[in-house]
Amino acid sequence: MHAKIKAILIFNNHGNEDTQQQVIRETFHLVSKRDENVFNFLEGGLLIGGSDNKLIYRHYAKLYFVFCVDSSESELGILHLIQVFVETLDKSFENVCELDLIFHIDKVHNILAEMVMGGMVSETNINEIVTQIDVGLVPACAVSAVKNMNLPEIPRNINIGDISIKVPNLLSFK
Amino acid sequence: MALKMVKGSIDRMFDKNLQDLVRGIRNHKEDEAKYISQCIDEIKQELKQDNIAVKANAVCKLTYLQMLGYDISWAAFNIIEVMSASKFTFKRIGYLAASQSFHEGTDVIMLTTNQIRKDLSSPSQYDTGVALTGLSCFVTPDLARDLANDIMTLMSHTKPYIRKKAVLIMYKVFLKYPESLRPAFPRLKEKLEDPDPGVQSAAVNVICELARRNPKNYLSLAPLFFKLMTSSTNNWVLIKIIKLFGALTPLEPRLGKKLIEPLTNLIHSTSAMSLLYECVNTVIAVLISLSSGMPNHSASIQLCVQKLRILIEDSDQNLKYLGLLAMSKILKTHPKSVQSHKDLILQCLDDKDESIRLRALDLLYGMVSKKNLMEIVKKLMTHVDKAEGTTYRDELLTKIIDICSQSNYQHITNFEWYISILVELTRLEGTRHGHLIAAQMLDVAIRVKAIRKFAVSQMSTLLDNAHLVASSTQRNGICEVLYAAAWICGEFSEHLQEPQHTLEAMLRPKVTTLPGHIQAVYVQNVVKLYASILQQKEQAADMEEAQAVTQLMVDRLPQFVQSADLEVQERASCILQLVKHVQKLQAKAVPVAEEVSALFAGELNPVAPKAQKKVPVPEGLDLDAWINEPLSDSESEDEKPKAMFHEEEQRQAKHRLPEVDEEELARRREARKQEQANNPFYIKSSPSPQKRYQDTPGVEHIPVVQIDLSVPLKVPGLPLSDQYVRLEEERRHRQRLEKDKRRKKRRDKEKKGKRRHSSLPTESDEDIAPAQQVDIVTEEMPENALPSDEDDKDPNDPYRALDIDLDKPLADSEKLPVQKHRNAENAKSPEKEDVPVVEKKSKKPKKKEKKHKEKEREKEKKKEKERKGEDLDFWLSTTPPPAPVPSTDTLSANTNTDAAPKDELEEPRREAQDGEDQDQDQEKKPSKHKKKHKKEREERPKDKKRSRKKLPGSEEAPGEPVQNGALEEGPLPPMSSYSLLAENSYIKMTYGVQGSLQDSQVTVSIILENRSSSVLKSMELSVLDSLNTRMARPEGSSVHDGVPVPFQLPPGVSNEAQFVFTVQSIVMAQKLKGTLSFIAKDDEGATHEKLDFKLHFSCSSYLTTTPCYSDAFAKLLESGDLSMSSIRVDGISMSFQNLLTKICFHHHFSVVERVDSCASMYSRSVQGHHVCLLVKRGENSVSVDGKCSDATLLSNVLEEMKATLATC
Repeated sequence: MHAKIKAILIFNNHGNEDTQQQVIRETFHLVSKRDENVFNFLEGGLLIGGSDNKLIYRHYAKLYFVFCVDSSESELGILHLIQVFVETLDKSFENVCELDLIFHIDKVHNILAEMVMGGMVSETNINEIVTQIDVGLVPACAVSAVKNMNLPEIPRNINIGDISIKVPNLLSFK
Repeated sequence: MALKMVKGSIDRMFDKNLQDLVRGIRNHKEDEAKYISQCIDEIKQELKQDNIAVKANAVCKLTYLQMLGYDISWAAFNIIEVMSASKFTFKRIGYLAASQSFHEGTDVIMLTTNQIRKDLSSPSQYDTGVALTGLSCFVTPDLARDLANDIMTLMSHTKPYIRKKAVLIMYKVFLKYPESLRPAFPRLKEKLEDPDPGVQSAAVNVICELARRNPKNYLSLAPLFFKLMTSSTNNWVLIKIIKLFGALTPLEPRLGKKLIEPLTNLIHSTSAMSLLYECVNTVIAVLISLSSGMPNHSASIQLCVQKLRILIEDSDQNLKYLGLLAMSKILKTHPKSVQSHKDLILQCLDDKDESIRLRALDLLYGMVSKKNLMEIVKKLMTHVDKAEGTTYRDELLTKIIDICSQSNYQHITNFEWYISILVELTRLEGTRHGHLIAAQMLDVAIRVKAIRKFAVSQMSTLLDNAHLVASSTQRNGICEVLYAAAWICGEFSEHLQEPQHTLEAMLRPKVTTLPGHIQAVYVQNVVKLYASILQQKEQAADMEEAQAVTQLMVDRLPQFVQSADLEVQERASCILQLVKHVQKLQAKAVPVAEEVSALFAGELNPVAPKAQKKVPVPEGLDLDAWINEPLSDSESEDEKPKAMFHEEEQRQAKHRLPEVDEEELARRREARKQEQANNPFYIKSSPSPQKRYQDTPGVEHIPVVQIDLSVPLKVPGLPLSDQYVRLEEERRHRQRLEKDKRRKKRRDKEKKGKRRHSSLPTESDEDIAPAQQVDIVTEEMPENALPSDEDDKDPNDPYRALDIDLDKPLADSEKLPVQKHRNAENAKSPEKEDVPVVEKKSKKPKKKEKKHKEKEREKEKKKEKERKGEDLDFWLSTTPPPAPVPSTDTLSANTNTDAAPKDELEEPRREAQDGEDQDQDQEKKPSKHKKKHKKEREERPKDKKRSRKKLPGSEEAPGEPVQNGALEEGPLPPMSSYSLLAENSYIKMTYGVQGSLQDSQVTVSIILENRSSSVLKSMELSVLDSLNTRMARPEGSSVHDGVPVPFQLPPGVSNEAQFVFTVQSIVMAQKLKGTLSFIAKDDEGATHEKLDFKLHFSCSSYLTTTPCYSDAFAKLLESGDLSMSSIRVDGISMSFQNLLTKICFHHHFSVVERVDSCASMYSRSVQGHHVCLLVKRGENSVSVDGKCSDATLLSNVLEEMKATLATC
């Protein structure tokens, strides 16, 4: 991949040892070991494609959002982009939680595709992204709602308090 | 029952969607793999259904499984099916799956081309959008080539949403299909000024990314970006542009100057930290690119440093980190501005984040100066004391050493202080870096001669207290310093106060517990010490004492002879024998000191680490060639040419050798033990203490009593570095006082002389004189070492393909491939371009012509650059450029024109260029020169005209003495096939004609030289075609239309245009009438001008130089198909050689054979006529006999030749 934003990873703090993708495992080990009060950049190792690349991450509740970018990106800008991403998730899932991301991974992908394209930032306006995403998605949601009604044994409320992601207000960017 | 189960499972199969799958996987934690394989089977069933909704659902689930690491490449075709669904939600699922799983190796990807093209042109912007997004993930070179044109069209879509995406994906397309960059770039550039900010931002993104990799190609966009920077309010865009400028400034320092002001404004005004940070970064880059001598930039630096201070002081660790990062960049060029923030950096050493501390350490490295070195190191030493964790402490230790030793100890003014710091560092417990300290001690002692005495005294104390160092818990680390101590004391033993005492210290039994390589050094240096003691004693005639020393050696050395370390053992045995021999001589009262010292005569100087590499390879030595034929593999492997490189790293080798031995021994020991254990006949014995050394050669097996040292180590007699700090301060103070005194005196004098000189009495770095006579011995280098430091560019860099000149006008051949009907593609259109077909098609272009062309092309390139440069120059120059001193080039050109006008006219091209240079220079020159110059210029054309009368088709050397035998063999002046076409006060046209072997075409190259002060544009060449000769015109234009000249001519510039003509019959010379029309534009306005000309196609111009072998030539002549004709010219004075050269050049012949004053020559016409010549030189005459397949052609060629020869 020859783009500025090379990879975007999201994982929780349990770490998935089964994952075959070594990159995720390695990144997980790099990032999850870091203290809460240290800066959020990691200089690139061989794994993520050389010294030009950096890992930039943010930590929300139990989730880590990791962006792997090269030197053409502003570090603080990417931190802001992560914030935009999380806020967008929050808005389009209405109080996003970890399980939302797992169950609706396709939607997460679509949101990302609106924000980042070909490794470059394409849209940072949250409302704009949400409008684009919701196009044609309504029927699918309805279907799943109807389906879930037939399955009472499945917990309906997956938005358990402690794993919902709090989205604090951070850096003013604009 | 069974049926029900089947039915149930079928129901489930239809039901399960992504959420069910996820839930199922979470509920089957124990047998996840089994569950998933079951799901995959279900999915396979679903994919077989015709219902697209079912398929899409299946593909959606596959996408999730792919994320978990399962291979879904088998479903690629199904993914394409879902991509082609008409419903948007399904299509989106398909594209998502494709973007996750497709890659260049996916073979079905080529099936998607048409589907994607369809989606791209879909009326729904969402279809188009999703196709673009998907394509950005899996675009391949093939897809990029096939779709580039479609995407380019989308860049002008009505919806900004699509425009934005199309612009962004272009970057991917460029990477995969670099040929698309030039045709697409103009439109991409337009998008920089798109009304929609999103599209604009996307274009900035793409261009910045392109420019980052090949910045020089994008310099011409600087004005546009500058405008955007000062007008845009979008921080994303601003950051991108500012980052780009950071990459451009090193290429164009003037750009930097222009940037400083707006950047400073942004720094002052912005509230976004990210933008602030990038601005500061770019300002730093600008300041680095500008060389010193910019007085008002200290303000900018101060501003940057202040802002960075705010970042560093922020509680946000991210800002702190970035602040330090940027600070280290400033440090490289402006260390002084950073040095004033020393307190802040030192504070960071207390930060809880280790990476921040390490960054701060890095900064300190660059911040030290002569003035603050001691203070900084003192701070660091206190940190060493309180540091927790050995890693960070070791890092501190290495940094202290790095800081002090950087650039040849540049900042150390007092080496006594440094040695004492090193000695203090030896008291660090548990460090791994003993060898580093040791290396420093050695280096300083060797290279700073003045410090040796002090070093020796410190080292002897260290040796005396070796038990303290050597018995600390982790011996292998710090005891390395004893290695250095022993060597220094031995090598510089003449400085020792009490050599005998040190000798005894080095011969203590305790020494045998040290690692082998250190013992070896002990043994070796004991002898050096011994030698110097002997000398002292003998000089004092104290024979008894001398013998006593010898006796001490004889008594103590055996303990080393018994050493398990081979190196130690060997050295000790040797030396013991030597000393015993000395003892015998001493018994006979023979003086021996001289001879013993002679063993160690001479100095050991440091060798530069690269010395071996820099030895130049002697001429004629091929290092790659085999000396002997290689033997079989196994043998060649055994002998590694290690010994050759031994010299290279003498010092390291010393370290290493014993270690290698130890390893080797350990290995052997292990092997032996193994063997013994397996050998039933070997009687195992418990090792007795006496025999222990035989079985366990390594020292580490000897149990050592650990001494618990809870009391901090204070080695008696060792000075604290602080003392030296104080001493040094006092010394500096004294120095300053003295200086002040001197200055005062001087000032008094100045006052008397009524001269005021405001010199501030600040103490700069350079004022501090070092305490010692610092004589740093430089490292030795081999003689005539090559100063080569190869810079390497990665040849595999994918961005190299995008290193494309974007300012060149676009050629037809570069257009993006557009899907067309086949017959349309096949229809051959006449060449539109001005680049001649001839040139491409002719397989063997004449060498000279080729060269000529290359030159021409270079010239054009240069001009292109100049033009580009001019635009940028204009933008960059805020003040008129200062009048440059006329370069020597111009001067010589001037003298050339004055002294040798003939030179100039025989080479109209070079002259044209010279003229151009002159003109350019002339503009910058003061008016005085201008007038004079103008006169010169007016004279020149006259010269030209005079000589041109003798044209056409001939070139001669006017003024060459005729009938002068002495000059007969003189070299021919340079010739040119270009002759004057027409000229007026605006323009001068010269032309040359060359034929090509195909299609009966000839190319006319016309050099247009603008000799006016106006810009000439819209030039158009119209030629009145004859029945025989026609000009090749662009498709669709009539015979009466002119052909545009593809360039404009600024004043004084000349350029070449080429036009192709088709010729029916070539046997006759042709003349075509034509007109050049153009618009001349200057400050006062534009006028429409015309210049008539006559194009002369001589028969020679239809001939092309074709080599011919003598036997083929003979056959041709024998064939009898050729008609014959001959001419004779009298009064020829030129040498035969020169004559032949002239014929070859002007009439395109080649010499087949030459015998004395007779030569056969051959040429071929563009229509395949053979022309054979026999040229004979008589006295003052030349006769030419010709044979040709066409009689008319031959006679015409001969006539032309006659004209040429007549001028010889």
